[in-house]
Amino acid sequence: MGSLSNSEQNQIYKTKFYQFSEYPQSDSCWSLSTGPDGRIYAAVCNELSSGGSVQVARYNENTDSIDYLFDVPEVVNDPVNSGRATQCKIHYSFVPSLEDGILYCATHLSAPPFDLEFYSPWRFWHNEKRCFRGSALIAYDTNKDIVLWVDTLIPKEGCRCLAFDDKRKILYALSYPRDHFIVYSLKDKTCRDIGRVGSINSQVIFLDSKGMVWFSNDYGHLIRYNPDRDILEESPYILPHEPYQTGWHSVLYDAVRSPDGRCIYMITWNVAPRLIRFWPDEREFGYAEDLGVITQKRNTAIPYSMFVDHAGGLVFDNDGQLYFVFSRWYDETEQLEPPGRQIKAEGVVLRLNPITLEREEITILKRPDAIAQYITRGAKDRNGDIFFGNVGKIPVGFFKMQMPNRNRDAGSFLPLRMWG
Amino acid sequence: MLDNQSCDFQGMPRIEIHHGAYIREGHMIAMPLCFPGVTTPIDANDSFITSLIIGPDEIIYGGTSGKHAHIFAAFTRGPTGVVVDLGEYSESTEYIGLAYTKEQLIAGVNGKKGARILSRHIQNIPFADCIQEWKFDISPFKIAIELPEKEKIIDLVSDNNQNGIIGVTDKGLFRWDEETNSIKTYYDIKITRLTKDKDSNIYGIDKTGQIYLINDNKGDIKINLGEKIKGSFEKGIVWCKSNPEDISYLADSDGGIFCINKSGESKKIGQTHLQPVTCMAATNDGRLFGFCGHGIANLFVYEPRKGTFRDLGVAVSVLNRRRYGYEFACAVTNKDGEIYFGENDRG
Repeated sequence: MGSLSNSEQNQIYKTKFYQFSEYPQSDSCWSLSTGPDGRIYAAVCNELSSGGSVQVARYNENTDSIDYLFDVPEVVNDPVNSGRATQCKIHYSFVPSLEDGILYCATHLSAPPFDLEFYSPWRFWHNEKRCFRGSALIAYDTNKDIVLWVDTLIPKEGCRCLAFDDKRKILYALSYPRDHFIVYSLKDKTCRDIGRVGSINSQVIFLDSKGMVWFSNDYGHLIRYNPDRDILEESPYILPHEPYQTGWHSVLYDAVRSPDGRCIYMITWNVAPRLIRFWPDEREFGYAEDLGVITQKRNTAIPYSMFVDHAGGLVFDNDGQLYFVFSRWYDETEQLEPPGRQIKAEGVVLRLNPITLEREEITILKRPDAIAQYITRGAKDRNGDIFFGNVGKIPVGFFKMQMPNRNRDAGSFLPLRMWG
Repeated sequence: MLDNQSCDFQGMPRIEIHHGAYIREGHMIAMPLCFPGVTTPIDANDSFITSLIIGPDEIIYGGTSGKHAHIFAAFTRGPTGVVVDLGEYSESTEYIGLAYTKEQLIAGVNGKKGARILSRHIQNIPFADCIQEWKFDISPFKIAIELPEKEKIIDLVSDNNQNGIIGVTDKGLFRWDEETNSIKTYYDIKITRLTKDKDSNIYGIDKTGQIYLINDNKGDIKINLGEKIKGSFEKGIVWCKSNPEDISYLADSDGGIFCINKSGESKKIGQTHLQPVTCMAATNDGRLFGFCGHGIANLFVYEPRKGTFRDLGVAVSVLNRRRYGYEFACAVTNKDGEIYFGENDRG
C-alpha cells in the first residue's frame, strides 16, 4: 500500500471538518448522500441521548457552512417528549429521486424516551407507552425546500437502510429489530412485509442494473429480491472473510456501483472488514471477487469493536478512482471502545485504482477537536468534492475533501447512488 | 405478573432494561434446519415450522409451511444433533398436523390442490453417529388420501390405539383408518382443535367452548361431552398435555389459560400478559411454558405449585447459533424435559 507523508497528502487533498455545532448533542452522522440536486445532505443524529432527535442538514457551498433544513420529530409529528423512543436518526436511509427532485428519508430508532436511560426495542415492543411509533418516511422536495408528505414506513420498527428503484417507484428497506425486508410502493403508498431475513441487519441494500435488490443475511450470504417473482433468494456462497471467521456477521456495510455500472464495490460489517468487488450479472448469484482485508493485522484473540476496526465511505470520483476511509489504531490495549468513544486511532482516506487494484493512502481525516476513525458514508457533490459522514465525539459532523480535479460541469455528480 | 406492558421503567438502569428484555431463566438454543456443515437448511421461504410431534425413539418430527411444505426429523439425543429434511411436498404450502401410527408417520397438508393425508414409514435413528459417520434412511411420502376439493385440514392426532388418525377439517371431524386406508366423516361434529393426553385420551373443542371426549372404538368414534368453557374460542386455540399430571392445558384466543381433567372439566388458571398464545408445552415437572404476543413473542411460564404466571422475556439463542426468536407456532417436550419450540418465521 503506497502512501505519501501527511504534509504532502493534505496539500493535494484538502480536508475540512464541518461540525453540527448548532446541535451539541449530535453524536452520529449516519446518513450522508448526494441529493437529486447534486448537493450534500446529512443526518444530524442523536442516538444516545434520552429524547434525542434528528435534523436534516445540507452543505451550503455558497457560505461554506451547514444549513439545517428541518427537525424530523416536528415534521412527522412525533414529539420527543412523548414518552416513546424518539425519531433520533436516519440510518443509511437517504435516497434521491432525480426525476422530481425529491429526497426520501426514513427514520430509525435507538434513543431512549426522554425520561428513560435506555431503549430496548425488544423489551418495549408491547409497551404502548414506550414503543417506537415506527419509521417515518419523509418526501422532501429539494427544489422547493419543503416537506411534501410523510408516512409510516414500518410500524414499531426502525429502518436500518433504504434503497430506491426509480423505474418501478419502489422503496426497499430493512427493519430493525426484526430484520424484515420491506417493500414500499410510491405509486399507492402501500407497504408490504416480504419476511424476515435474520437477526443482523445488512447495513446497505443495493440494486443491480436489472432492478434486482441485494443485501445480506447473518451468515454472509447475499440475499436477492426478485421484484418480478416477489421472492427472496439466498446465494449459496458466503462472502469472503478471514480464516478464523465463519462468515457469521459478514453482512454488508457499504456498497457503491462502479461508474460503468457493471460491478459493485462493497465492504463487510465485521472486524477485519473486507473489500469485495461484486459482479451481479455473472453466474447464477453473481460473482464476489475478494479484494482483501482493509484494516491492519491485530490480535485476533481480542474481540475488537467494529467502531474501531472499521471501513466505510465508498465513493467514486470523476477520475474513476474509488475512495473510502478505514480506521488505523495505535494502542491494542484500548480497543474495546472506552467511554466517550475516545480511542487512539485515525481515519485514513484510501484511493483504489479499479484497474490495477493499487491502493494508496491519500490523506488523514482530522477534526480540530478529536480523532475521526469512523466514517459512515461518502458522497460526491456537484462541484466534484467528496464528503464523508462521521461518528465520534459530540458534536459530530462531516468532512469535505476538496478534490484536485474538481468538475463543475452540470451533471458531474451523476450517476446518483440510489441507496443510503 | 411483571410484564413489559404496564411497567413504567423510569429509573431502571440501562443494563437492566437491556438484559431484562431476553430470556431470564434457562437457555434457548436455535437449531438450524440442517445437518450443519453437511446439508443446506430448508429454504428460508419454506421454513415456517407449524407442526411438531415427538415420535418413537424420541425423534422430533416437524412440518413446515411457506412457498412449499417440508417434513423434517430432528435428532437431538446422543451423538446426533442434526435436522434432516425428509422431503418437500411441493403441491402444498402448509403442514397442519403430524401424528404416527404403529407403522407410519402421518402428515396432514393443505395446498393449492387441496388437503392430503401423507404417510411414510417411521424414521429410524441414524446409523453410527453424526460426528464422523452417518447413514439415514429417507423414503418418500406417499399420498394416503386426498380429501374432497376445497376442504382444509385444521388439526389431527393419532387415534387412541394408533391404528389411524382422528382429524378435523373445516367441514368437521373425520377418522382415517390405516389398515383400510379409508376415511369416515362425522361432519355434524364441529370440533376445531384436538389434543391427546399422556394416556392417549383425545379431547376436542369447538368454537363455543364445548369440550369433547373422543374415543374410537374399533374404528367407530364415540363422543362424550365435557364441560362448556366460558372463554373466546373462535380462533387461535392452543392445547397441550401435561406429562406428570392428568390434565391438559388450553389457551383461548384472549390468552386465558385453562386446565382440563380427564372428565372434560375445566378450570381457568390464569391469563397471559400478551395475546395471542401461539404455543405451549409442559415440562416433565409440571411447569407450563408458552409464547404469547404478536411480532416479538414473549415466553411465559406457569408454575402449578405456586399458581403463578411469569413473563420470561424474548427468546434469544447465543450458544451455537446466534439468533433472536420472534414467532413460534408449536412446541413439544421430550423425555429429557427439553422443550422444542417450532419457529414460525422465515430463515
